[in-house]
Amino acid sequence: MRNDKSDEPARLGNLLLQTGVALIKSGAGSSRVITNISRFAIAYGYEANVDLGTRNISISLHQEARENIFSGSRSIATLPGANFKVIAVISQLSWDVVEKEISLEESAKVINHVFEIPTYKRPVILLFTGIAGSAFCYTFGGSALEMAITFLATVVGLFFKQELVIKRYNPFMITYGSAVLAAAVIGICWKIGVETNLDHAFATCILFLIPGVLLINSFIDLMDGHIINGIDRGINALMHAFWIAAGLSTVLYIFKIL
Amino acid sequence: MIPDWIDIIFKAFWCGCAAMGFAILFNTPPRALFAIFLCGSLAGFFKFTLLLPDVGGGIILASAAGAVAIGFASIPVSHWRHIPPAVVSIPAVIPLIPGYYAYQTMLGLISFINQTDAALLISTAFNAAMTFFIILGISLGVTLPMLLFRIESVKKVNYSFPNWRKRK
Repeated sequence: MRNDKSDEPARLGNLLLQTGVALIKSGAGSSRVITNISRFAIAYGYEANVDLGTRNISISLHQEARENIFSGSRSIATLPGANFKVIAVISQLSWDVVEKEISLEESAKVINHVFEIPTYKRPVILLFTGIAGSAFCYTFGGSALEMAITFLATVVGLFFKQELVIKRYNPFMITYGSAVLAAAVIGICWKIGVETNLDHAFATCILFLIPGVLLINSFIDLMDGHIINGIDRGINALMHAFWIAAGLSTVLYIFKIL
Repeated sequence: MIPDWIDIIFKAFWCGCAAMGFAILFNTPPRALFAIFLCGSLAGFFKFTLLLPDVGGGIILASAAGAVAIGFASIPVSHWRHIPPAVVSIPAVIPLIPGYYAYQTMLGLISFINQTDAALLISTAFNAAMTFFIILGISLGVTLPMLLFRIESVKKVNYSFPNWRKRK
């Protein structure tokens, strides 16, 4: 098996494509994807040329004097999300391949199961994101009551978002729906007369929807010279921000706060 | 009235909490969580110290300084916890994102529909510019160590102090 090298480029190429797709889906910046893929390819004695978008990837493999020995591409059905465990596992694997000379079969095994790595339990995510929401409220100058209301709104909004993600709605509609629900929780609290000034709570209850990974990756891509991908991610982030604003204004209009 | 430094420590603590919450939302490996909490607190500490009236750094500089602190801290942390630096730095800078300015920008644009007032447009444009420049400062700050040392991978960076004692 190990002496039969004839199908190695094809297997390596497919593995690299899978790796690239996993990295893009998990919210890695363009240079990180290219660095990781090149590291894999060099460790197995090839040179990889990568063409990268935010929803597609093509790789061609070369070996020193010989001409192109593999080319392939994949398109990605979904917009990039965030799953840093995948990024950490793949980065670790790429170094193990360089330093410990792991065989192609073994790395393929890891890459194939990369999305089966367990995530945090849902209540844990809800609890800590709620705490993050109320933490934001504190740093913006909110009172303890506002922090509690923000916690409630964030948990309700995020729960709804998770439900919509499971049902595979359009990502922007998910953002809009969750923004409406989170802001509506604050609006209801205001209507039943919890506190008259809930400005900080309104500003911070939708912050869990802010596409932070996209925004930062967008600027990092622009800095690295991946201009098209940077603009792509930036516009994507802007779309999310627009839908958050739309959700917020819907609630402000319904409750006649504005 | 709470003394300034206690207020800063409280705010830094909550910045760390926010960073950790987002780390869990992004499914960061558990071994990195405490490090992210520390990085987030560090950034909050820098940001709110620079924002003190006596220091007078201004919000853009303060956010950028917090991000620079995270950028440099993420390199030893990624050695320590064996994770890529971006996995540490992205959740840690989320508390620095100018949510309130972004919110005011959106709100200003929405109000402009009903109320065509030049002052409103000016304040909205100001908020939008602040949002943009703060995010620019944050992302520059986070990538600064990479740009300064021209590194492709943190594995090759040695951050340990030079061994002065041996030179005697």
